[in-house]
Amino acid sequence: MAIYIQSCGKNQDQDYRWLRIKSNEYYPENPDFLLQPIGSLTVRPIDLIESQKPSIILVATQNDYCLLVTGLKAREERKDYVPRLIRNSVLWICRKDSENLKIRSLLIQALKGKLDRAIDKTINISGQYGFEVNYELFNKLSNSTLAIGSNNQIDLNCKIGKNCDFLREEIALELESNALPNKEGLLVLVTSIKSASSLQKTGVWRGLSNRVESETLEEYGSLTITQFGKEKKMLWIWVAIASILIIAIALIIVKLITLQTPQPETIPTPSIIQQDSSSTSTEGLNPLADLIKVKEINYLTFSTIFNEE
Amino acid sequence: MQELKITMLGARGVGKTTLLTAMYEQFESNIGNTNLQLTPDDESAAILQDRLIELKSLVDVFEARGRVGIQGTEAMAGPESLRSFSFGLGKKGEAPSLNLRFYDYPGGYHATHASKEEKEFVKKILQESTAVIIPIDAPSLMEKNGKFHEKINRPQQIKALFNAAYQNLNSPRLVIFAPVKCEKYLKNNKTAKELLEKVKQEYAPLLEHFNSPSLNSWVASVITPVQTVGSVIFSRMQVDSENNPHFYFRKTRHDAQYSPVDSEQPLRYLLRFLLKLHLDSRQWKYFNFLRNWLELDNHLEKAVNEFARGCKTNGNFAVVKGEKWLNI
Repeated sequence: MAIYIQSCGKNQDQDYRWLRIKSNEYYPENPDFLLQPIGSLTVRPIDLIESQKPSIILVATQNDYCLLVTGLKAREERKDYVPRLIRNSVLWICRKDSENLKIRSLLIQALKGKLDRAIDKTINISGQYGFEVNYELFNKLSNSTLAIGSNNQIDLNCKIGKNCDFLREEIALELESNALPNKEGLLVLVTSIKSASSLQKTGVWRGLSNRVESETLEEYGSLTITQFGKEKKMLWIWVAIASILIIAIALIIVKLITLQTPQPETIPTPSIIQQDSSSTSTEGLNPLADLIKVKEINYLTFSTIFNEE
Repeated sequence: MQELKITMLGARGVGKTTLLTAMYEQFESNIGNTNLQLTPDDESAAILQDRLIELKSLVDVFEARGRVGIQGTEAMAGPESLRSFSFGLGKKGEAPSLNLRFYDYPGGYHATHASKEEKEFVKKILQESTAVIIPIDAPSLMEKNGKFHEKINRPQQIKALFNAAYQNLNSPRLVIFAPVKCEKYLKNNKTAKELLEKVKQEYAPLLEHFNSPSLNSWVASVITPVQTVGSVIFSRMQVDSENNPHFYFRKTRHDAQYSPVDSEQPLRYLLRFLLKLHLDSRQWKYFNFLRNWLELDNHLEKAVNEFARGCKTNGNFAVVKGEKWLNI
């Protein structure tokens, strides 16, 4: 499990910064996760939230879950020099296979607003950055799991709604009895700045925003055909269309070349003229009519091939 | 659409975000009287609206908590992740024709611990900005004969940043000094004049730098005090064991509400400056588009002119340098 914490100290020189926490050592490091596009989307985690406000992002990658919780309130005692309230933010990166329960427990606590005090308790006012993390306490918090079920009957429909206590609680309850969807991409987003259409574009499984009106979770799609899935499907359709067009163009070129190749000239004998004249009186004598016939055959051949495609 | 950058410049906690929020609050009420329209993009509006609510609620609970500023700014993942605030400017009822982008960055980028990348970011944003707004914490400047001015407002650092950023300028720039939390000092003409003189005195090295031959003709500078809250005044100061000053404020009346004063003045001066650039016939690398912007629409020019003429020039305000760039 990788852990990053962002906070600040009291003094003017101790502004907000991320610290990577490794056992009892820590050092300043901005998490790469924040600037990396999510799955096939162009959007990055930092584009989805106003990090100074309470926000939650859960992203599933191939091997990991990344849970970002921002805007957690610090205790009154931890004011800066102005004095202003201080915020904490945390990023956990956990293995999907072995730490599934841990991340779900943390996510449920974040949704229920139970992380503010718990995280702040692990932070002391000291050190060169003005805050230090009690690793033992933090580790205990990160590794504690709630008594939650793990049914695999989770509702895969994607839903969005207003960022309010009631809906955050509803999502938490859903996650208390069910495992997370086994899909990659943006699974949960709680934000203060995104519109309903922006949420839908991300293909998020559960998305809440201050800018969405609906106080019930509204369905807009399904994880079985998520935005990512849709994009992939559209890509395959375009590849198929392009392939058909290339084959068709190739066939036309081949046929045109065939047409331009000099054909052995047939000098109509009186018998031929007689046979042809039984159908039409002029076609047999008209080279243009022959060409039209050849073109008709080519068209039929091409149509057959195209339809087969 | 053409875009102009404006950056808030100052150390942590001096009031960059509070000033920007107060400016946003007054944009609409002041600009609304003209034929101009200044529209924030959806996300900028959502964020600034949240900050405005926070600022207003601080006034409500002020007596209990004594806080004067809204939450400190953070850049979630370094300068690359810094959020800016975008406002479309144009004629009422029409699509904006010019974008004003305000940058508000964490004051810690000036700090001792700031990374090279963070310091470079501030330099770059200064170079690229048409205008720079420097909020000045007025109590630090005025109380105890300015004993904590250097510690809080960091004028030397500010000067060093301009030294590094303003080299080989070839286009005009506007630098706005905006004393904030200055309600106490604007109560009468005497203290208002003292505030003005103190700004000139404490920032004299920077102003002298602007007077150097290579910058003299390019920099315009004004002092525009802004009462960012309006209804609270400085009452006392305490110094803690680490020599950090703590400023305490009180409400003017028990039921006083958030009522900022003159927070639109920086924008008026900015538009006045842009209008002057448009009217000037010379060619500049960055601002040639301004000529076309207003030439296309005389009504827009008239509206900008009307708004810009609302710049205050009485005792509390002063054009300290480059008046030619502001004469319209």
